[in-house]
This record gives sequence, structure tokens and C-alpha cells, in this order.
Amino acid sequence: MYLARIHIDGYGIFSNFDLPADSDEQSFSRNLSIVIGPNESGKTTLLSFVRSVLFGFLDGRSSENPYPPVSGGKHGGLVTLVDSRGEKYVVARSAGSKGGLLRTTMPDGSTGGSAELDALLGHASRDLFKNVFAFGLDELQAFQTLANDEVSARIYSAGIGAGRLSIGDVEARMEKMRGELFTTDRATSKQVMVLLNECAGVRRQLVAIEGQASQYTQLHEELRSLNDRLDEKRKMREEKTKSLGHCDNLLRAWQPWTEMQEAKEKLSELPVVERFPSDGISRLDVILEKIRAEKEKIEAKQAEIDGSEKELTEINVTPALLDRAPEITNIERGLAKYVSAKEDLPKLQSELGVQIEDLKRSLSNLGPGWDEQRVLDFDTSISAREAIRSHGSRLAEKRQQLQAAGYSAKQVSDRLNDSNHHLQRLKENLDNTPEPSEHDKAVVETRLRSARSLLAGLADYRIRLQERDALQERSSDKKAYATSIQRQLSQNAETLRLPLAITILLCLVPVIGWIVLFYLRRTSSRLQKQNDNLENDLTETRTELKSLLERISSIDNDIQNEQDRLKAAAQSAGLQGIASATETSELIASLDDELAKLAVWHAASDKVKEATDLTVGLERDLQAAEESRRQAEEETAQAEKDWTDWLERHGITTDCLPPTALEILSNVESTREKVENIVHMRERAKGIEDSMKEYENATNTVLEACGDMVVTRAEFPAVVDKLIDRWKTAQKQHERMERMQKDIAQNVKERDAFQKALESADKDLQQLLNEAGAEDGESFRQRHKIFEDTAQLRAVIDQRRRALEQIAGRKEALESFVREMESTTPENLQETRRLIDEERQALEEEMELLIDERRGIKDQLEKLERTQEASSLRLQLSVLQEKLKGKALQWVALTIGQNLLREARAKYERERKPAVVQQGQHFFSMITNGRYPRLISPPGETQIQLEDSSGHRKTLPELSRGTAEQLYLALRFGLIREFSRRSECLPVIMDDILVNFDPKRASEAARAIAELANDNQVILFTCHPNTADLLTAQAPQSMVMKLQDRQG
Amino acid sequence: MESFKFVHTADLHLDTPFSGISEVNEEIAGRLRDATLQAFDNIVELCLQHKVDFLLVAGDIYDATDRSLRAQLRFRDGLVRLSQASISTFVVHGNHDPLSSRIATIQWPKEVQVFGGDEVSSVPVRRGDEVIAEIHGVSYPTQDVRENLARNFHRQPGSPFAVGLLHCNVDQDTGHEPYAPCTLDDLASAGMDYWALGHVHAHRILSTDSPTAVYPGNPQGRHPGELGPRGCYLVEVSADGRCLPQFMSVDAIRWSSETLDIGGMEDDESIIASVRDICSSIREQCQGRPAVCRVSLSGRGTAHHSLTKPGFLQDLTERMRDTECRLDPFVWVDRIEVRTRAPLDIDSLRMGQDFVGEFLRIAAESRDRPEFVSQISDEISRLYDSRLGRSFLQRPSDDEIRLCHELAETLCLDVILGEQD
Repeated sequence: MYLARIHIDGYGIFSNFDLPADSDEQSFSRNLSIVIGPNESGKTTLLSFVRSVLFGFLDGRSSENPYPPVSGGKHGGLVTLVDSRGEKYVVARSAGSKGGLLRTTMPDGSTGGSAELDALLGHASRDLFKNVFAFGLDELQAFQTLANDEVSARIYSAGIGAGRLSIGDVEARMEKMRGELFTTDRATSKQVMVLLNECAGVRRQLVAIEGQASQYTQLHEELRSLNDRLDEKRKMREEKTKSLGHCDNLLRAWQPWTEMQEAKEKLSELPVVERFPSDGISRLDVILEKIRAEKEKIEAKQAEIDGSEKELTEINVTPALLDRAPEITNIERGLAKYVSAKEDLPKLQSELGVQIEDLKRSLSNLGPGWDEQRVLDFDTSISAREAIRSHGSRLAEKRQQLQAAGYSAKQVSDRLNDSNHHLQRLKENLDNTPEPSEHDKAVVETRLRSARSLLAGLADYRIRLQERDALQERSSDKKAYATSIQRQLSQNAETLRLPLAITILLCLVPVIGWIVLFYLRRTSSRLQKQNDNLENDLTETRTELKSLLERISSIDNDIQNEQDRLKAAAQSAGLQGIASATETSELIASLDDELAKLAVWHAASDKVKEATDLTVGLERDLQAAEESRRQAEEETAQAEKDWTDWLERHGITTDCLPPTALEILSNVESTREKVENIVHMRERAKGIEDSMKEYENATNTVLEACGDMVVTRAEFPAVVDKLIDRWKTAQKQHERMERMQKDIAQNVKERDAFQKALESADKDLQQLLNEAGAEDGESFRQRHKIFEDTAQLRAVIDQRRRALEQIAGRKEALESFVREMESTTPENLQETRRLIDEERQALEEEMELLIDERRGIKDQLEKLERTQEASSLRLQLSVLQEKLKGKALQWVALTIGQNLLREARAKYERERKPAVVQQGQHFFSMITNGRYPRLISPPGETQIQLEDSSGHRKTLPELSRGTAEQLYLALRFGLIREFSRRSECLPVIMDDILVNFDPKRASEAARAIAELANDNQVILFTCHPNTADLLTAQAPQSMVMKLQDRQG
Repeated sequence: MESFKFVHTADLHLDTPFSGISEVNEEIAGRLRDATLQAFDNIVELCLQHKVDFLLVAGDIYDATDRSLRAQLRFRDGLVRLSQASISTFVVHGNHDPLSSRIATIQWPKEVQVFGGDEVSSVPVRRGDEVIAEIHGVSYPTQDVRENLARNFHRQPGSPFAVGLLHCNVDQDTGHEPYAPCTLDDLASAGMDYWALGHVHAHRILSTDSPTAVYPGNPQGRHPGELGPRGCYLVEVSADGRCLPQFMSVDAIRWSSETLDIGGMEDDESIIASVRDICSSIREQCQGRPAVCRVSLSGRGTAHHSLTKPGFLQDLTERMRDTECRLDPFVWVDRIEVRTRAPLDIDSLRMGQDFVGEFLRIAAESRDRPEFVSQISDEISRLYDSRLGRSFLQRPSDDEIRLCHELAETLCLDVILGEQD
């Protein structure tokens, strides 16, 4: 693959820049291109640009110069690559995230991305490309500060596709990470060992506290023993407490016992009242209060009855009015209607007069002979209207048909005139057209087809004749050849007969004879051989001749057939026998002409026929139109007669048209509405008059019954109002009387009930006094006082007894208790109590000591129950172990990683190094002009040694700077060859790498570059024109171009 | 027969430590330490709340090797509460808490029935005068019981409802030791209505009918392999003897594991925000209980460079812990595992003819090469077979070795290409 062109949109100092220049329309050489440019002309920028387009633009995080566009804008540009098949790819990259936006245009015009580019570049990485294929002096010189084995590692690392680290650096870094975790000497400071020791420590602690369970059991045993002792002491204390309580009880009972004795004494002094009604005093008070209240109610009721009777005597009512209540109610209900009718009647009569006048005017408008009855009887129904409309539309339709028939007849007549004129013109035209000799077109066309077929057959016929002539010539030649062979055979037969005679003769002279015989046998043999060949030829020639004669015969048949066919065609075309091609062509032209004339004559004739047919048709149409017009006239006359008859039947003048008749019908209808309205108004006026009279009669009847005078219409409705007022007043008075009578009866009833209640209360009072054995209220109250005192003293005695029972216990206990009290004194009891109390206190002190001891054990148990130490330690151990596991696995991963690296490096060196060193040796020997013919790098070792032509070996540190750079360059060329052997041949771009080489070595290096350029494209940037000269001397076809000075 | 309810639990492993946690602070440590105990308290609350007739405990109440007094006392305290509410408890011991490991001085409340280890015994459960069920059970006398105990269970004639209470391994569950091995057919032929099983830590119903056989799992997940809801079964038995087991989660802290693809993450803040989103999502899923989570970062992207910077991951983890630990309920970010890769086209690199290509090809093919595996095994023996290593480390499993291999490839590539421009 080679780099054809570079185009930069924006990168460093370049903007819209092409290399080679756009105007050149050239590409870089696929072998060696030299780009000469002074310092700061942008050579290194171009190198960086190619890397960036292929592998992505660098961002600010990179330590390398990202070459931001000096003239503003964003990074962008493209390179054109051409692969080994000559297919062209365009790789364009513009600014964007992750190295920029990439677009790879494939040879077929399709576009791809990084995957396509990656495949195109043989999966080379940025670093591989940078270190091996596109490098400058910096990359070469970067080796100088390194030690020998590091250099070796770095040289191979140039091909590892990695960053700046060498494989050795990577291995060292991995080993450092691994060593921080764990080392085989088990150094205690390493993370894994620290964790292991911590785990061991926690486990020791756990073992130490595992005895908790047995301690718990032992403490429980001690606790049980203590509880037993405490129970014993508690029992003794309870006994002492019991004795003490007894003494206290006797002392407490002393007072209630004394009080009970005193109460018994007072009770014996009171008189005996054995019974007294329960709640006696309150019941007495209730009865006395009731008697007083009943008396007061009786007096109040009597006063109400007296007042009502007096008021009743003062009320006065007219009974006749009350008797006529239904009639007066009807009069009151009809009053409003009567008043309204009295107002409406005069208005109605006045309106009736106006309506009658209006009707008269309408009747006179209809004409003479119209009265109310005729108006009401006249038929104005929908069917009558439909009949008028039907007559109207029929008349209109018939008149329209008549008009249309007239118009149609005129139209046809006009068209017939036009058609006659057109026919005349066409006939004249036909007369002017020449008439052809043959009118049948098919006859002429058949002749034409035959003539054309004849013309075509004539060519083939000629070819067949020529072919037959050629074959006849060849058969003549073959015949002659066969004759000559036969002649030769005859001569040879003569010659062969001569040696036989000579042989017989020579047998007599042996020596000479043998010699001559030998000669003759050879001659004979040669002739025999020649004869054989000739006979073979003769046989072949005869076979060929036979074949030729058969073909001639076949062609003769074909010619005969062709002749027959051509004769038939000529006859069909109207020719006498087979004519020449010229005659036939003339006949075809004459027939074509005749066919054209025939077409023109036929067209004119057809048109005349069409026009004649049209004229005949129009004459038929005119007759039909005239007939239609006559029929329309008859139908119109019939319709007009039918309409006149209808008018006469309905008494309307016959000159009236249907619309006018419809208008008369409308006028009759509106007049009929007026007549009907007047009839209705008359009936309404009569109804009002009748109802007024009926109302006035009813009112006068009631007035008469009440003793009043009969009145006229003029006094209505005032007289009605008065009547109703009087009636309502009488009604109210009557209701009041009834209410008062009811009240008096009720009050009398209540008064009697109060009287009965009073009597019942008097009876209750007497019964209560009897129950208490008292004569009156006062003695009742005195007996109550005695009864209450007796009960109180009995209660005191009872209460004290209960107190004593509570202290001592019931029955036997109480009796023994009383006996004890009777036999002692309070002072004696106090002394006994003091002695018992002292004994009890001693017991309690002993118990407290035991309880303290038990509390201690319980605390210990509780502490054991609560302790979380073991749980915490177990969790701690678990956490440590998990952490340990993580670190250990990390160490395992690093161990695996180290092994992988080691294997990969060994394989890489094993498979690649010999080839790289061998190639490197070739280039290094060339560059040093054979001074160092060998490079030595034993398998498994990283170092490289050089052997000079005298067999003396040198290590890298012994080399000068220039020689070292030459070695690195040679090894890099070796890598390029090795990489290209396995993958894509990528272009090699170098930036002024020969500056430290002496002229001779530089010249040899140029030779090496030229050789490299045979396989890989090389683009070399330099600021030294001498370098370009050196290279062009080695590779004259190389391409040289110049970069402009961009300083300032 | 009357309908009744009971709770079935097993594998409480009270007061046993959480494993698989690489770091905790003091407050979280306290919560983790109490989690198994809290889960058991939750079971007791569940029994009281649903007023069940009895509680079944199918072994492994605590770990005998820990000799934890706290575990046994806390268990007793819970049973005392149930006893006070007249709820009986039936207990068998398993391989982790065989009868030989019990502390004799701890007195069980009267409503507690601990089955012996000599033979299968039966105890009736009464409601009033009526027997509603019969519980058959047997404990492990010692840890190592390899006998098929299920074959010793037989239903009593006339039993209204028979329950088998057993700690065993049904159908050779490969994730657990083969103690008291038996088959589902063994369980079916014993004539029990319900098999209350223990030993397997993932809850599952082996058989829904004739008989119903249930592993309730452990009520508290104790390591990252025990993810998701953990609890016990609340079983309702209808009057016609049909069982309706309903799983009830009672775990005090829940384990969670989430994976996050770093593809598309451009900066550090987007990583932080994504991890925070994961924590919020976990908090929501855990329905009010705290959680311990592991976040595994995977995929390729530029964020890989940040994640592999020294100290970045530690800072990120601590930052997440600081924030998420203060919220209620807390989410403890136990670790953030980085299994990410740089945004490189590894397949393309592997095809390259440079050293990186060679390295990647060897890394790929060496994974299953016996000589390479054996060589690594020899090298890591220096750590794992050392005196302390044997005590506190387990040799990495095949899966772990595979992960280490992937990590090794990533680490080497990071170092090789680390300073690439």
C-alpha cells in the first residue's frame, strides 16, 4: 500500500494545503519520494498529520504537540491511499470527539469507518506506526539514554504496538504491583501477610472467649443454691412477721372494742319503737303538699267557668244567612267571572259590527253572485288546486313541444342544405383524381412481395453458382494429384524390380556383392517406404475427391430448387421468366408507385360515398321532424279546450288563465275565514249574555230568602260584595259561640277531677298516720326521732364488731381474740411486740447478704447473655478474610499476567527476533559498508552485539552516537521488512534521520533506503538538499518536491 | 377437622457472621451482627401477628462451631414470647446445631417441644381438647448424619394432619452437604401431609400436594450468594386438610448485586450518578429494609481509565458509603468490582502482528491450556499452601481463576497501553 496524496484543511501551520501540490495532479512515488523544505516549513507537522489522519487527532491530554490550526478553524484533512491492486481509498478525518470524525471512502465509492481503515492498515496501532513506520530523529535518539538490555527491549518494543513503555518496563511494573501484595519470602510488611497476621490475631481472641458457655452453666448452678437458701430464710421471716402482726392486731382492736361496749349501754336506755314506715317523714311532707295544691286548682277552675258563661250571653247571630251558606259560596266564586263578562260584552259586540263590514267588502271583491253561503260551499280543496295546476302545466308543456318541433324541423332542413353542398365538392375532387388501372390493392401487394422475394433469391442463387464453380475447380486439382501419385507408384515398382536381378548377380562376387547388396537394400527399403506414403496419400486424395463430388452434387440440387423457386416468384410478380436484378428492382419501384396512387384514389372515392350516405340520412330526418310538428299542434288545441270546459263547470269566466283561477281560489278561502269568524263571535256574545242572567237570578233568590229587596243589573256587583261581608261576619260569631261552650264543659270536667284527687290525698294521710301509730303530724315526727336513734346505736355496735372481725377473724378466732383482750393490757402487748420485731430484723439482714450475692451472679449471667464480643470478633474475622481473599486473587491475577507477558515476549522474540536481526544485519552491514557484517542476539537474551569484519565483538555502549543511530535505523528497517512480510506493506515516512551520519555512511544509508523503497513506499522529509542528492543518486526515479519556507 | 395456621422456618444460623464483606464501619457492623437475630425476632412477631397455632423449626438454629451463647439465649427468649401467647414451638436440630452442642442449663418454656435424636417421635398439637395435628420429628444427635431419616417417618392411623419435621438433603441438592439424604419418593411414601424441611438455604416448594414439601430457606441471607428476599412460610391448613403455604420475607438486611455497563459514561460524575441510581433502586426494591450491595462495573468505555486510576475506586466506594449509609434505610456499598475494559477493539488488537496482538492471542489460548493452568497453580501454592494461607484462604475456584485470567489480561493491557497517546 502506498500514500498517494495529502490534503490538509487545517493542521498546524497548514490550511487548505495539498502535497503533492494540487496543480501538479501528481501522486507520491510508490517507491521513494523526497520532500525538501527548510526549517519550520512544516515537515514534522506533515509527519504528525499523516499519523493523526490515520489514527486520530490528539487532544489536550497528550504530551505530544496536537498542532492546533494556526489560521483558526478545526483540525481536518484527508490522505489518499492506494493498495497493491491499485485500488484507491480516501481516508478523511475532521475534528470531533474520540480522535475526530473518520470517513473512509472505498474504491467502489461506498464509505466506511474505523473498521475498514483498520483492516486496510493491517491492524497496525498508532504506536507501531509511530515507532516503526513514521519516525523522526527524536524516536531514533530516544534510545541513547538507555542501558544495553533496555535498548534491546526497546527495539523490540518498537514493534509491540504499545506506548512508551518497553516490555521490560511493563514486566517490572507488574512485578512491583505483585510484590506489594505478597512475596515468596513472606515479608510481613506485604499486604496479604498483614491481613493473614490480623486474621490469626482475631482467631486467638475468639478461642480465648469460647469458654463463656461453660462459665454460664457454672454460674447457673451457684444461682440455684443461693435461691434455695434464700427461700429458707424467707420462710422464717414470714413466721416472725406473722407474730408481730398478731400483736399489732390486738393493739389496733383495743379502741373499737371499747366503743362497742359504750353503744350497747346507750341502746338499753331508749323507749322501744319497733316499727315506723320507711321514708315516713318525706312521705308525710309529700301528702300534705298535694292536699294544698289540689285545693288551689279547684278554686282556679271555678273562676274560669264563671267568666265564660257570662261572655256567652252577650253574642248575637242571624240564622238565615248561615242556612244559605252553599248558595252564597257559589255567588262568591262566580263574582270574578261575572265582573269580567260585564266588561267584555260591549267590546265583543262592537268588534262584531266591524267584522261584518269587512266581509261585505270581500264579497263585493269576488264579484256579483257571491254571498256567505256560496263562499262556504265553493270547492277550494287541494284536488281543485291540483286540477288547475295540472291544466296549467299541460297547456305549457304542449305549447313548448309545439315550439321545439318547429325548431327541430328547421335545424334538419339547414343541415340537409350544407350536406348537399359538401357532396357536390367531393364529387368534383374525385373526378379530378386519376383512376388506377388495377383497383384491387391485394393484387398489387402480392406482385410486390413476389418481386422482392425474387430480388433477394437472386443474390443467394449467384453465391451458390460461385460455390459450385470453386468446388469443381478443387475436384479437378485432386483428380490431377491422384493421377500424379499413380504415375510415381508405377515408376517405383520398376525400380524395385532391378535390385532383385542385381542381387542374384552379386551373390557370385561375395565381398563387393555384400557392399552393393547393402546399398541396394537401403535404397529398396527407402523406395518401399516412399511407396507406402504415396499409397496413403492416394487413398486420402481419393476420399477427399469423393467427398467433393458429393458436395457438388448436393449444391447442384440446391441450385435447381432455387431456380424453380425464382421462376415461380417471377411469374407471380408478372415477369416472363427469371429477370435480372436491375429489371426486378425497376418492377419493385413501379409497383410501389402504383400502390401509392391506388391509396389516393381509394381515399377520395371513400369520402364521396360517406357524404352521399349522410345526405340520404338527413332527408329521412326532415320528414320525421315535420310529422312531429303536426302532432304537437293537435295536442295543444285539445289541452286548451279541456281548460275552458273546467272553467265553465266552476262558474268562472272562460278567459281566465290557470294562475288567475288559483288566485280566485285563494280569495274565496280568505273570505271564508272571515265568515267563519263572524259566526263564532255571534255565538260567544250570546253565551256571555246567558251566564250573566243566570248569576243575577241566583243572587236575587238569596237576597229574597234573607228578607232583602230584588235588585237590577246596575247594582251589580256592589250588592254581591255586601251580601258576602254579612255572611262571613255571621259565620265567625257562630264559630266563637261553639268554642266557648266547649271550653266551659272541659273546665267543669277538670274541676271535678281535682276534687277527686283531694279526697284521695286525705285518705293517704290518714293511712300513713295509722302505720306509724300516730294521731297527728306532730306525734308522727316525735316517734320518727326515737326510731332513728335506736338504728344509729345498733349500726355503731355492728360496725365495731366487723372491725374486730376484720382484725381477728370470724367466729372462733374472734372469740379467742376477745378472750385474749380481756386477759391482757395494752402495755403488756407493746412489750411482746418489741421482742418479736428484733428477731425479724436479724433475719432480714441475713437475707440481704444472700440477695447481694445472688445479684452479683445474675449480673455476671446477664453480662454473659448480653455480650457481643464473640459476635463482633467473628464478623471482624469474616471481613478480614474477605479482604484477604480479594488481595490474594489480585495477586493471582498479577501472577497470571506476569506469566502471560513472559510467554508472549518469549514467543515474540523467538519468532520475530531472528528475522528482524537478520534483516537488520543486512541493512547495518550495508550502511557501515561491510564494517560490521554480523549482528548477534542469542535466543533468550535481550542484548545485541556487533561483530566487525575481523571477528571482534562490540556491545552497544561501545558504539558512537552515529553508529548507534545507524544500528537502530537498520533494526527498524528489519522490523519494517518483518512486519510487511506478515501484514500490509505500510508507507514509511522519515523525518531527517541522516543528520548525524558521516557523508560516506549517509550515502550508504541512502542506498539502504533505496533498497527498502523497492518493497515499501518511502517518503523522506529533509531540510538538507545534500540528502536529497544522495537519495536521488541511489534511486534516480525517485520523486523530489519542495516545501515553501513558511517562516514569517 | 378444624382449620389452623402455622409458621415453618429453618436454618436460622443465629449470631453467625456475614461473610463476603470486605469492609464495615462500626454502626453497620452492629446491624450486621444482629441481622440473624433480628430476622428471628421478625418470625416471632409474624407468629404473634397472625395468631398461628404453632411454629416449626427445622434445624440449624445456630452454628455449634461458634459456641454462641447469645444465639441460644436469643432463641429461648423468642420462644418464651410465643409460649406466653400459647403458641407451641417444635424444634429439630440439624448438622450445624446437633443435640450434642446444646447448652444444658438453658430452660425451654413449657410450650416448646425439642425432638430427640434416637428415633422419630410424634407429638400431638391440641386446640382445646381436640387434636388438630401430629408433628413427627427427629434431631441430629451429632453433626455427621448420613442415614436416610425420612424412611423412619410413618403416619399414625387416624391422625388428622401429619407433619414431618426434618433437616435433610432431598434429591442430592448439589449446593449443600448430603446430610440425611433422601428422595421425594421417600417423603411421599411416609404418609405425611406436610414436610417441614430444613438444610437448603434457597426457599422453594418441592411438592405442592400429597404431600406438600417445603424448604423455607434461611430467613437472613449471610453472604453475597444469598441474594434477594429471605424468610419463612406461613401455612394455612383448611378444614379439608389442604395446605396453602405463603412465603413471608423477614430478613433484616438484604443482599443485592447489580451490574453496571460503563459504555457511554464520559466522566467521573456519570459513574457516581449511575452507582447512586443503583443504590436508590435497591433501596426501593428492599421495601424499607437496609441492604448490602455489590456493584459490578463492566463493559468498555473511557470511564475505564478513571476506574483504574490509583485510589479512584476506593474514593468512589467511600463516597457512596458516606452518602448511602446516612439514609434510612441504609444501603451499604460493600464493594464496587471493576471488570471494565479500556475502549479498545480487542478483536482488532488480537489480529495485529505486533506484541500486543501476540499477547492477546496467548492470553486467549492459555486459559484452557493444562500446562499453563498447572504452572499458575504451582506458583500460587506458595501463598495458598503456606501455614497461615491454609488457615484463612481457600484455593481459588475454577471460576475465580477464570476471572483472574480476564483481570490479568486487562491489567497487562492497561499497563502496556496505559501511556498511549
